[in-house]
Amino acid sequence: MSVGLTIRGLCKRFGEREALAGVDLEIQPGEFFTLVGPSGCGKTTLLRCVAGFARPDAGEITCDGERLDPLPPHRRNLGMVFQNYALFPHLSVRENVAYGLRARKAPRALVAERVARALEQVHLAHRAGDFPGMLSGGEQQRVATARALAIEPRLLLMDEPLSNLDAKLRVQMREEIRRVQRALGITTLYVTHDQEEALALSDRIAVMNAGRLEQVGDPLHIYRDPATPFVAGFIGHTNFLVGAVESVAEGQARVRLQALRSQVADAVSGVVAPSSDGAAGQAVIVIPAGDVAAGQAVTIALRPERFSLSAQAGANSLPGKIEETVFLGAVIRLRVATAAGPITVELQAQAAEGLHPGAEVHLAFDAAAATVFASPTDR
Amino acid sequence: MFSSLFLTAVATFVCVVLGVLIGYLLVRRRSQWTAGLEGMLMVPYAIPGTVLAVALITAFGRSPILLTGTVTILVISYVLRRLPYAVRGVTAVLHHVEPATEEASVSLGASPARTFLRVTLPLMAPGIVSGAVMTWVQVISEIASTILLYFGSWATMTVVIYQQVVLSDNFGPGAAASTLLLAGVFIPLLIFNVWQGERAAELM
Repeated sequence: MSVGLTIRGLCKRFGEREALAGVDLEIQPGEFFTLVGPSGCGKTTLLRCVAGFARPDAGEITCDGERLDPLPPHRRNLGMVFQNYALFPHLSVRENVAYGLRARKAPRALVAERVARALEQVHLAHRAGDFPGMLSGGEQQRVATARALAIEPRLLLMDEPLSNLDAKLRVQMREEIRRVQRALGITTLYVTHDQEEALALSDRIAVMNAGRLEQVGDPLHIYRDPATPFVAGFIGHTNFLVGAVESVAEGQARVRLQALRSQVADAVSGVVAPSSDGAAGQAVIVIPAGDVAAGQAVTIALRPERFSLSAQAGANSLPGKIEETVFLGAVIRLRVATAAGPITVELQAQAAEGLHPGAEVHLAFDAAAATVFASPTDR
Repeated sequence: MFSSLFLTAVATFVCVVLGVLIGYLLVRRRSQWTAGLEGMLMVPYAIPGTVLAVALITAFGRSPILLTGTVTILVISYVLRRLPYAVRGVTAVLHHVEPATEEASVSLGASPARTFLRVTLPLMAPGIVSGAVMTWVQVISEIASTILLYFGSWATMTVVIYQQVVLSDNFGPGAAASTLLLAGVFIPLLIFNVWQGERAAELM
């Protein structure tokens, strides 16, 4: 019943800016697929091309063996949920949900039945007679979802549907969306800038940056094994260590780390990346060699939860001084100044008891958990 | 009395229809053309009525398009001068309607024409009505161009008042016409205010 979506070579340009630079994507039937990336990365443009509100300059969009791109948007039979819900304020909840069926001239009895079912699905049957202005944000979101589902679309498109809700409701609503999506088995293309939301909801994720797909994969894969430094920095929190490979022996590479001054968040993407002055520091670590060669410059990504504290120096440990501790409930986040720059560490709250800013510690890490990238030479 | 109401009704109707179309173009189909249109729209608004009337007489007072001495030229002058009110009423409201609302309608399978009728137009309604009331009030009490353009039995109430009071010193009929004119201005305003109040209560 559910259908897949195939996108080939999709390009879209707005004046000078390249919003989509040749995107290829294959979405499986019934899949919950999320496009995630910083604002301006092209994810919304991609969704709008599928919906038909933006006309791609080149490329093909195929759904269920049918080319979508030549069709006007009202003939594509796709359900879309908008960021601000875009409910019709002059129509009741029931009329909002019935709107698409009425446009299709569906018989009265069918309209009544489908509207009732759609509202049942989102637990809003009791608000059918109310106007959108009388509903809370969460309820409006559910009406928007019910309205898109009532037409039994081929695909469900969602454009940041939860970004207008407060944090707690957002978590609750994403479970709700996932439940409805699973129950219907409808292929869903979801757009968000919230990487945590993407990880929690999706069967597969595409991380986008500057009009391109950086990596496509399931959430675990994307988190554990980021394909590029961008993905490592955007999905979850990442510490970057920058250095040069001194030698490679027995599958182990010795890397002399540079002293980073800071990890700088990129103003556009919000992605944290290293800023170095190129000076080699004192710290040396040993990592699995992978495909790096001696003399090569590398960037190493390490998740905050991959560090532990030890009392004395060890093989892969960096001496440092705690600069800041942030209590987050189950975990404590530490910022530690080391010879390789500031490093963020997350520890179970019990393991970090009694730690205070100013304390001298050794940061040990699991070298196998490090992701190594060859540093771009043109930086 | 009849001529005033008739002329005002026709002019208001034309203003509203044009106002809706132009207002929609200005907000939803922006281009260099519409920007130029918006600028041009304000020109007759700034020109005094008498000047416009003289211009119309000069332009249409001879063949091939002979319009002087017709109702049409009166309506044209009213529409030209008051169209900005109708357009502004529509654009002010339409600027607050998210384009996504119309996109939602289209994504649900409604054609662009159906979307305009079922979504855009109802959402513009408050602007259309307020623009219409403004146009009505302005047109019914307009004299500057009417006094030059009217003919025969198409003397509007404002012209009658002017003739009776200024030219003939007949304050009686003048006062009577003034009373009717005030009714013609205030009754629509009253209805509009009541309607708006009810609407506000409904949307609360």
